Amino acid sequence: MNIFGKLTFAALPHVWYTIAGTCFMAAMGVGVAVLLTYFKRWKWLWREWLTSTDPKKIGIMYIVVASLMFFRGALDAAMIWVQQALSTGASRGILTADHFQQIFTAHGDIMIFFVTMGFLFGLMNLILPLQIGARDVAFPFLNTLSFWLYVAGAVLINLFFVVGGDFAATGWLASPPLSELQYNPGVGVDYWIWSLQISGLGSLLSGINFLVTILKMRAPGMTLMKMPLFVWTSLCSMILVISAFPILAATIALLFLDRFFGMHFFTAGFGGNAMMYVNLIWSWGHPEVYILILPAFGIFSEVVATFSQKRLFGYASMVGAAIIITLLSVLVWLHHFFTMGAGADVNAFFGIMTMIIAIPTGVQVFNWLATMFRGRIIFASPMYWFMGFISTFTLGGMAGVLMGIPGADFQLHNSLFLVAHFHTMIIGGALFGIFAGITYWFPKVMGFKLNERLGKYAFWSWIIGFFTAFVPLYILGFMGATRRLDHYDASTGWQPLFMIAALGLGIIACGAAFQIAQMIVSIKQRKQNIDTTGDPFDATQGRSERSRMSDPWSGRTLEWATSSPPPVYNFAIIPEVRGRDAFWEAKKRGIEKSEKTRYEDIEMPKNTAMGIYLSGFAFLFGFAIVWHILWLALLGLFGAIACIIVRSFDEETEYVIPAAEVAKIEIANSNL
Amino acid sequence: MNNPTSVVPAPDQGPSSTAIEDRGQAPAGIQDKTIFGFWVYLMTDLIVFAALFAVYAVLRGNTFGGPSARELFSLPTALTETLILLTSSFTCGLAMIAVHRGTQSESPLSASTAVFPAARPSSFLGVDKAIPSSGFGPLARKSRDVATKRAFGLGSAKNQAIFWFGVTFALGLAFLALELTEFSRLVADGNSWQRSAFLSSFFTLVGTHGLHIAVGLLWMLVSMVQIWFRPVRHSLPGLHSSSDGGGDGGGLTPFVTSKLIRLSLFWHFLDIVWIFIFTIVYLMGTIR
Repeated sequence: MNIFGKLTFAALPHVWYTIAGTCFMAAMGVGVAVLLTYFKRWKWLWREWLTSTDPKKIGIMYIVVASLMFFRGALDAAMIWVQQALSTGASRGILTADHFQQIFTAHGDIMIFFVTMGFLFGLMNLILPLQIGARDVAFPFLNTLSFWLYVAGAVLINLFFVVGGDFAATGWLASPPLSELQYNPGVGVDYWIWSLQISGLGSLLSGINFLVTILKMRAPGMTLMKMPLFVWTSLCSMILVISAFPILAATIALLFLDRFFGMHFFTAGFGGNAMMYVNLIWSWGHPEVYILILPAFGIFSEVVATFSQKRLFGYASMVGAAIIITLLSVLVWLHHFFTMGAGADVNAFFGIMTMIIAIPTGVQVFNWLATMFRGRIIFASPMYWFMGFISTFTLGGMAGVLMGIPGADFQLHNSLFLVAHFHTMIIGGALFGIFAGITYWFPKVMGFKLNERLGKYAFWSWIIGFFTAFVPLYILGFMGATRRLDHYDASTGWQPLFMIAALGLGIIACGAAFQIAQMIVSIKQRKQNIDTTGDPFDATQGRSERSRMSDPWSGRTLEWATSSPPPVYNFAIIPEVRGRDAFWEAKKRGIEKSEKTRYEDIEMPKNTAMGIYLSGFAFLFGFAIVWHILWLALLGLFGAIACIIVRSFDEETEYVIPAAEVAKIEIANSNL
Repeated sequence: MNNPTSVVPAPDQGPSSTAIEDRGQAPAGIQDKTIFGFWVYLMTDLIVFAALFAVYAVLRGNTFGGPSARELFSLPTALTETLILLTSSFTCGLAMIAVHRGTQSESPLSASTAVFPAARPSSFLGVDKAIPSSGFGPLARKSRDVATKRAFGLGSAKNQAIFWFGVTFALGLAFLALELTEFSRLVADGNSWQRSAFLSSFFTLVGTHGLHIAVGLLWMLVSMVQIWFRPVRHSLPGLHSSSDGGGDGGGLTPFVTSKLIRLSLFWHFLDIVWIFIFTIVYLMGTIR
């Protein structure tokens, strides 16, 4: 047994894209290291950020990593677009078939697991505890562990650039038999397996964490039916996480067992059943897409209420709709493979369930519209994202219901119509929701607003670019174009549509550029963005500067009751909640901040590096297993176990902020 | 794992109802969140097993010409394993009784009263009610000690807990040994997990359970160490175990007790899963 397992020098970068990827990541790493050394910020980074258990810090770190992964996923998308626009007739485009397959696989996995889930967990970390009037999540250590497991997974999925050269070329769900050892003997599928397994564990732990937080740590008086909608939809999403991610873990493990131990769960021979994999993986996969969209629905509920300056219409039916969506989402998984041959009766059942699940979504849409009706709409950029979402998501949703009819799906399954549909859902739904949420809550987290003008330019670029890119795909789908094509006949006449789609890419790229510019400009102008006098849409005129900054949008929910950014303990005094839109109620009663209050000592969790160490060992284990380096795998495994044992002996995981210090912080914040 | 943050509304917030119904959350027991969170984790683990059971159900007929369940499984062995595991659950329960007794004597407001208010030493096994069972004074402690020793003859609650956990550990180890013997017999006969889809799913389902048992055993070992040496204030355990905590419990602080409750939940959970394995894999496989 070779001490390095399957690892040889041939695994180092030697193709243009692995060399490019390695150089780029190395350059970025060196650049960051140089900056940190020059500004002498290593210790600060370690102490203030990396080892922090503060969900506000962890949330920001999630968003940073998700943005980096977004860049990588978008690059993959760009390569797909360009390839499909060029590769027809005699031309073979710029990519080989095998490379193209790796790209669309990586694109899907990165966007779903590392971008969308990363952004959403980031927003939940930042805002959830504040919205329920809590100081932290239920299990701060699990929180930091989840984040670092997510990072370990992200590193693994990028590692093939440096060591290995091959990613899975199987599509984002790596269906067997293609993903079995016989047809994919390289390390690509193994990288896929372990990066998803490790980050999936992080997601599962987060699911448990947020579930317990929401159920056990709400402020006194906040019954379930008084929670903000973002909290409700996050609760539903986390229920789906804890129900679905174990299935993913089990299924990926079975594929690993097939590949590593020669088992026969999904092999073509020896009694294996590849169709079982498809069932299992979509039993996870369908709840997953609802996991992604439900928090976005919650964000939009907050945004619509705030910017219509009106209470959310139909709160109870919104809650009921979210719950029904949650329950139904585990009953529709077969609609992803109507064509696999389950028969008309089975297909009919799942088709009907799929159409039924559109109903509660419709309830949500109508409630949002009813909220806007007779409201005094403020056209700030979060509202733009909402209105973009409404139009886009409705169209894409209807496309989905169309495909939910098995007869139609036999024509449209795995066509570009499908691709257009799910991108509409994820971009128009989840991503626009994330953008709205980031814009809406940015001032709370950072203390200053994002530049509104650039935000609106970004929005228009995104929505125009989105329609330019994906309407051609809907049409192409009807014309018979299948997905994942790296080359097509000139006689199909598809190229003009592909070129229009590539144009859409360019426009979206402008949108992204505007967002980057918005970030840079906003940071530069942060002192000025506090003052919003003169803005005719500003409902906050006539208020003190401090209150305008802690509550720049005239918010309705509890997170706006803190300073911007909030102190480490969120609330010096846990608020007493009397009704929905708790902060709005408090403002109407005229209680913004009582002056004469007695502060108490506050216990907060200490920083810990154990999450980093544990995830480091997990990463080592994953890497070693991919390359069959047994001693390293055992080292990773035992190291991880040792970390857990050492941590379990640690009784001193909290520190106390004395009441006097709390008072000082509160006074300082009120004098901003 | 973590001590919870304390969430207490400040005293002078004006008139506010303190009725439980008005509050948005349950009263903050020390271990409330942690135990609840552990239950949630157990349910996710159950879903993992459910997926493996589903896989087994689909694949159990796919023997690829090889031997089937009826030819391979020995019911006597499976029955022995079942009885061993069930007994180990019982002894784990005995250990937890000792734990609660020990924690009880540390402080009346300890973890176990918050979670298990019925676990009071004076009512257990009819110990003389005249002996004071609460209070901290040395006299009260001493008389409790005497009562306990009299009642059980085995010594302090801490020793009892360690003893019964030790028995549970030994039984779990016996279970694993039997299971590994069964596995190696199968492999030696050429019926390894590579032979057919049925065997792959058998080894994975039963093997995953066995892996969980192994993890539980390791956890039990660490727990016994933690009971023995009360964790000192700085990360690494008892180079000098501080004075026995005063009273019966020794290392049975709420911190340790919370972990032990979770361990016992895990152990009972594994027992329940085994019942399903015994039924679905062994019984339904061999009895037609």
